[in-house]
Amino acid sequence: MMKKIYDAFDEIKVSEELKMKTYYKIKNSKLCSKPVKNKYRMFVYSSVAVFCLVLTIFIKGDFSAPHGNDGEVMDMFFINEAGEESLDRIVYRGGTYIFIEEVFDKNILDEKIGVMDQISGASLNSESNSAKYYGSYIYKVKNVDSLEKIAIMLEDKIFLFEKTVDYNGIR
Amino acid sequence: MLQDVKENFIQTVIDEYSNAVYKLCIIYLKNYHDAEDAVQEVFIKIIEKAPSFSSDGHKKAWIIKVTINHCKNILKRKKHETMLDDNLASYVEKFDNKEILQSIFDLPLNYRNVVYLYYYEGYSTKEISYILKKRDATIRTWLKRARDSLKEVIGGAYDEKNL
Repeated sequence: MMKKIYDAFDEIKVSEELKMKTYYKIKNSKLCSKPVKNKYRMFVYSSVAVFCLVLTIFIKGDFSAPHGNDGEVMDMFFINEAGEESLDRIVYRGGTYIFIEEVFDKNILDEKIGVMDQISGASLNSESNSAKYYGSYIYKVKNVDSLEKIAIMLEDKIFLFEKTVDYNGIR
Repeated sequence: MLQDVKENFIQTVIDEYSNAVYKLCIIYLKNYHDAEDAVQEVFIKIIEKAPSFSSDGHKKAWIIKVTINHCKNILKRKKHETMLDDNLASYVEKFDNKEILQSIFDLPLNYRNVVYLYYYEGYSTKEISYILKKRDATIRTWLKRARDSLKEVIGGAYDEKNL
């Protein structure tokens, strides 16, 4: 039975035409920025990059806590270009974190990354070894460098974030 | 340079996962025109998010989840607009295993989805339960009922010992 079903599904294949159509659709969409065509554009992009770098250094210097794990959520939500509120990016004291994935439940996170650890120096919730801010639970993920990854529990869902120093969305 | 890397990345992702995404879209939507549109939309989402993963297996599971969610949204939208135009019969006509495919597509959505993930993608019932956010026992029940229905068409003994 297994082989017959496998063979049946195996017959369904995406056409090369659809693959190409998909490729060009993505390429032509806004997601894929066009190459810099002239010196003026290059100048503008470079200026923005330098500005972002300076801003990053400034924010890091200004807000970095003496202890790496010490801090509080500055902004829970990131407002994207469309003006929608999303969890794509959060700012935690000392750095910006980019959303990696939604973890289905705590057991999976435990299996894949290791047991979540509390953020030291943060106020503890009596029911969980987590820091609680704005109704969310924030965990430092164990077995990775300090504050490189954090997990946030929101409405029974766990979201993993990875630290980044980039503010342009280029990783 | 960055542009080349980006384009290569898009090409690789499409080459690697387009078949899985397309199959799932067909399974959910039962309409190959809608499935083709859905494939393009799903890949835009995938490239837009492009999260980093620790393993390919993890990445594939995420892509499957994105596809399923997208198809569910389409089905929800279609429900309010008009009944789905089921053009699958003419689509499967060209395949050698058309009887098997047709009987799979005649199954309820949850059953055919589980059959695909279990028999084709090779996920265990536990992994499917994580992906679909259902209990393991529920997945096993769906799988058993699907197999019972398919057995009449396909015949043969079960290949699974642990179910």
